[in-house]
Amino acid sequence: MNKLLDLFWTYLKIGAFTFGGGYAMISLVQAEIVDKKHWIDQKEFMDMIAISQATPGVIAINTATFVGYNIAGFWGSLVATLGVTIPSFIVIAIISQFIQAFLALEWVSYAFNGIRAGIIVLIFDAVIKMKRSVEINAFNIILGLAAFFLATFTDINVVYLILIGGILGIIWQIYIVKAYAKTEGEKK
Amino acid sequence: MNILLSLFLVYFKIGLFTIGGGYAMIPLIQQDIVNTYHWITMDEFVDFIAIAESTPGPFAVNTATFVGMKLAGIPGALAAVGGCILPSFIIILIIARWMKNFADNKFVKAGLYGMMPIVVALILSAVFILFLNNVFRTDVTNLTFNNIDYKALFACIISAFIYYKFKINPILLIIISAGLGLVLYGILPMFGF
Repeated sequence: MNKLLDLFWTYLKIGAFTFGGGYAMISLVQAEIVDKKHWIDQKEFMDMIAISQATPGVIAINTATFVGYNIAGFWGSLVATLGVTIPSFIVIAIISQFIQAFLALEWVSYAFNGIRAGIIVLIFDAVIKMKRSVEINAFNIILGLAAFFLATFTDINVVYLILIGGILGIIWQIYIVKAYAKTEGEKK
Repeated sequence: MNILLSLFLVYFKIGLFTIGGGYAMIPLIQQDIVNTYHWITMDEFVDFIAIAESTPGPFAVNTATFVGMKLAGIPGALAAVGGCILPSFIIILIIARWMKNFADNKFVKAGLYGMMPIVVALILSAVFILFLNNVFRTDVTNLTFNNIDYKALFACIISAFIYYKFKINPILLIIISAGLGLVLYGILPMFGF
């Protein structure tokens, strides 16, 4: 019981004090849960982060669920997930009561005209950073370009594009790259 | 369909197909919440991103709460946030319980290998659409050069320059770009620009 409360409180703090989402949370979670509380060790933690990133869903929620489960089973995952969600929920629920009126103020709308430019730069920068984790080769470039043009100029459902990417990845990696490596091996 | 159920289902789909971090939601939100259901406008969407960036907590939860609150108050926010976090919660529980070596599975690895370039391209496409909307005040299907907002273009260039030149943090960039907006749209018109 005590551990559940402690876990909830820890994740509540993490949810209330991290700006910038899942990746920004990783170091804070590590400081609290690995370094301070010793609930799990560094290697276990890194494994969980790797799996959370390789799994569909919101990374912050993935890691909270995973860490919570490993520390205190199902109830651990539930309190950790609720803990990380509740601060955001409350803050935004309060802000959204005022935001329409706030955005309607003339000078605030001027400021937001500028902020939109800043946000475009931030998202663009996130794309550049993500691109570093994608290997540059013909397969990725063709897939990326095709997805960019289809998503920009047609109404195609982006979910289909993601699924097609997954299928092509499996075909490419398992049936073509491996088969090629095998024939190369036989030649030698 | 009932609005709460719609919010829940749409956000469940968004949560399920968010692969590789919060920004991967942007193309999904743009497609469903802005273009298909018209629950929010493109400008509101960017404003929400700005507020989500400047408030604590996961980006996904912040934007889901916003959209839910706007459409149906607290129940709407609960439906949207619930839908958004449930796929993560269920999938991770299954993995933690029964599939510890999920990330090492060759099909999972190969599938992700193919999904990552798509996800990056989709976010790039989403930000390109936001840029067109912001600067050309139009969408990509009827692109004209008649009503270019030169101030918005200028704000984008200056923001990018400052961000990359001085390597400032995102919140500082938002504050600086707000100042830029005040000068370009509020103060300059007083002098006839």
